[in-house]
Amino acid sequence: MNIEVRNFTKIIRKGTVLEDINLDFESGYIYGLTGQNGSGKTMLLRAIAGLIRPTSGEVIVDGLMLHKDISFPPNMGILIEKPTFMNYLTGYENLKFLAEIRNIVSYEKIEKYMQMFGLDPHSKKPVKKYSLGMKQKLGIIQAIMEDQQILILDEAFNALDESSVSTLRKLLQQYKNEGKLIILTSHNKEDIEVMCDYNYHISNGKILS
Amino acid sequence: MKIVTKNIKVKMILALIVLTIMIISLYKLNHQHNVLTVLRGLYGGVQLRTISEKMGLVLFIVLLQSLNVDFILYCLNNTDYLSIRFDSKESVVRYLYKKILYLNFMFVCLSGISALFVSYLSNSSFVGIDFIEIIEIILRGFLTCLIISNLQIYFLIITTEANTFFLLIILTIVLSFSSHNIYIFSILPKPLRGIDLFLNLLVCIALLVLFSIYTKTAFIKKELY
Repeated sequence: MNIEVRNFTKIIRKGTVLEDINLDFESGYIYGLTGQNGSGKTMLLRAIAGLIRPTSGEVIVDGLMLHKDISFPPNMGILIEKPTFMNYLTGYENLKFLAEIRNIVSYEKIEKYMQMFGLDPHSKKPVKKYSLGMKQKLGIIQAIMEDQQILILDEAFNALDESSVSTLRKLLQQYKNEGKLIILTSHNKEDIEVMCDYNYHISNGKILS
Repeated sequence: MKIVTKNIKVKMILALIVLTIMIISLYKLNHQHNVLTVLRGLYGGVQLRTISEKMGLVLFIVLLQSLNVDFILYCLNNTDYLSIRFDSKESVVRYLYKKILYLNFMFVCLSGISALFVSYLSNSSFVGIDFIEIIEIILRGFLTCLIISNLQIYFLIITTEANTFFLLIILTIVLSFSSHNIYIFSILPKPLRGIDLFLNLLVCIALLVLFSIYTKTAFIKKELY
């Protein structure tokens, strides 16, 4: 898979949040985005995911233009900002609900992922009683559980305990070896340096390096 | 679907209890044992003279709001995640509407069942009661609920949960005072016949379609700046 971002500019209420971005992403690599808060990292991820329309420029996925030929990149998993869960349901029920939309993942696989991240799929605890870290784990699982070929993960390592950070790192390496395209952001430089093949620094909506 | 209705079941039971209490109160307030008047009164379809009657309509709309709110907020707050899975925002709106349609239908059916149940318990005579008219009232009540639910979705898109709650309460209070005077333009199921009923249905359906288009547009535009 190949994603090309061409001359992408996004202006919101007279403010330029992304300016003339040109980037290429290919399967089999992990790409990292670094930058301060408000630098435009999340906005760029949203642009790649097809969640915002460009003021000018384009995003092309395998030759197909977003918002023209396709709405979203196919077979993509995202964790951009926190997903909302139904508070009265358990973590497992929430994941099951999301999985039933596409209906391509087995319940056993959801259970397996939950166990990998130290969550009990049979727990009766509703999500409203989950800690921040547990909700983050659910967010990660929903992004990867359907064997998505493109993974866009914004601050995925936030609020995770050590063992989950290690699990996620191993999984991402495995996905890279399987030929998946992974783009992630992190405040932690180590995450980016250890994990990523390419690292782009973004500041004031512009790619600096 | 089963998962979504898990929480709804509890809310439906609570709604049933509150509706039954409201219907019993309406029976006592109206001093009559006519299931048709009581049902119309519940949906605000009779002239609401006293403050208690007006409060009944307000309570009905509050109940409706509370039944809808969880699922609407889930879809609004999770638009990105749902859109990607459904492949388009339009599909998410359709999914939301499907669920709201189902919830509202269940809600009006519950109100109908409790009205019939209360009239049976209060030894009301069912002789001479036009069951077609009961169905007419319930279906028009359903139309009213759908219009209000549409407004609720729209307000939740453009403003906060608290503001939505108060905006709909204000709207209901205005309706409870003015609805009897605006006749065929009322969204509440007033007792109308013939051409007036037909025109009122047309007005309600037109409003519903208009609000749906407006809400759908607002939903799709919401994140795409």
